[in-house]
Amino acid sequence: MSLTTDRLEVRYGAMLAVEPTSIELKAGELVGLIGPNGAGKTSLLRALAGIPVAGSQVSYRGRALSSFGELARARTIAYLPQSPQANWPLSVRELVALGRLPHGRFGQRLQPADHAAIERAMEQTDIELLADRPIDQLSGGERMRAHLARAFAVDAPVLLVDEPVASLDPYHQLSVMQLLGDYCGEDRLVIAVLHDLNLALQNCSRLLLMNAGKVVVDDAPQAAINAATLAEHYRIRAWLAEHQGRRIAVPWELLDGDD
Amino acid sequence: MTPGAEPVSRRLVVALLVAALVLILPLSLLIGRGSGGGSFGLGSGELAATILREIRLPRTLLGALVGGTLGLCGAGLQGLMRNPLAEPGILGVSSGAAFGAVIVFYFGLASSDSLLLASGAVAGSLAALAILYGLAGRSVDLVRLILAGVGINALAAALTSLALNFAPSPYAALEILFWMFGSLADRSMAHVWLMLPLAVPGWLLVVAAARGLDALILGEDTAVSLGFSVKRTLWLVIGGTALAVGAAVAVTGVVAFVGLVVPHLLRPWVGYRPSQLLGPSFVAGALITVAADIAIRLMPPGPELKLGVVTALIGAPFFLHLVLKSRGRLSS
Repeated sequence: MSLTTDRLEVRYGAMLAVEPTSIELKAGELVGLIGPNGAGKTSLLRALAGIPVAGSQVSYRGRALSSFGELARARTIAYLPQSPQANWPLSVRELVALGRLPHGRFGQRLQPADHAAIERAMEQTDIELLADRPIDQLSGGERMRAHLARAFAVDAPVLLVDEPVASLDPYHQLSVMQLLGDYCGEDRLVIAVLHDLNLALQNCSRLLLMNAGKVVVDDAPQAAINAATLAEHYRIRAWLAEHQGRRIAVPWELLDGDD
Repeated sequence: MTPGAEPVSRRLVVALLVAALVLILPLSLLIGRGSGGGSFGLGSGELAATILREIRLPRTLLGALVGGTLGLCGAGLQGLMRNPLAEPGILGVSSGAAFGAVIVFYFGLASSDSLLLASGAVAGSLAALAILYGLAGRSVDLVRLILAGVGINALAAALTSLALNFAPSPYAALEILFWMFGSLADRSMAHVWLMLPLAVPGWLLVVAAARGLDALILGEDTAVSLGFSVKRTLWLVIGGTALAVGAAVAVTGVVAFVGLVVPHLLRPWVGYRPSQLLGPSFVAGALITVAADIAIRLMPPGPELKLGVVTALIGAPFFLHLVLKSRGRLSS
């Protein structure tokens, strides 16, 4: 299984948000998509999710994503946007069940396989006890887990998540990263946009560092985050250390460059 | 137990609604203007059969069809805009249809039961839809769509006022006004046959959007990632509403707020998912409208209260109540 992009580019009018990008991503990888604000991370992720953008060329298993039916594509690639929304106060179980929409047909009730996937997703994210609570009465961490369960319930071989740990406390940050790790442990591909360098260093198997619409570094975490890349692309100096054999990067001071 | 927590309550509520509708339809056939006593105001024999067939049957059927249309389309639009304040009228489809009919009246081309007037109303709703598409067609921005609806409503109101202003005679003005307040009085089976061929495809379009509307709960990007094009969902609901509500306005005039109130009342009982709300909203819309029309017929003799006036009197304060309740949420 592999998800590849062939000179994928994203344009908004005249602006090129993502320059032609060719990458190949494999099952079992937890890929961190990192980079400064405005680097094009979200644009790239949305293009991978099949949300229509000009010039996107994405292939799954060698077949162009655009040739997939919409539902077939939706069953292959699940997507969780930044700060996911729920416009009505559904119960947690109803919310998670929405992840089964690509598997159903018009007028069809949920099948046993759907119920199994819903229960499993709630079990993985540990929200079974919240199943009947309205989504708008949950704490931020609980809500994020419910949305993650919704994305898990799609049961897709590829999962794309945009800043899943933003606005979560450290416990829930670690727990969400662990959940993503478990998900890709089942021979699936997870791509996560991340801002926290340490979460990226410790949880991802591969990092794509983007800057100004380009993937500028594509490497193992330890190789991707170092003094040179942080200086060049993030324009910061960080305190780098090792703990239990893994690198830690603490952003420390601004590097005043061109502005 | 809170309502809506259990699917059992949904099934029960739907069963009760259907049962109530099944009971109220024959009741509506038995009750006439100022009727009382054993004869139900029917007289006897031949006359009774004629009254039933020619007057009460079409009145009852139209009440159910129009009310069902408004409930269904209200639920569809609220799902589409993810806003409990949405209503078939909000997109300007109703007022566009009303204006189309008024134009036909104004030029004295037709009386209230003619095909020409109905086609005027449908043309009006389609014109409103065309303007809507011109203003917001390429985008999937729902706020833009609502604003376009506000603009169309204002335009239709202005043009209708213009027609009223220059009405050729006080009688014509009165006729226009009375027609704009929706009513089920003095309708025939011809009206039913006029409405159905347009309304049924409209219903089907809205119902076809059910799963897309469910996906939209999660926002537009996520809906697309779940395999449901927002644009398709949008035009299924808008197109279906234009057809069905256009046809309804054509035969009964503007009956406001049924589409606003019905989904709102049902939501705590049948759940928040649009796919779960569409069918019950149709049944409850039919039920409420037929019940309101029965109440009108039971009032003391005199000038008959118009159905549209009754629904507006109940619906408008309800709308204000909703606005008040959601004030904090809207401004955030």
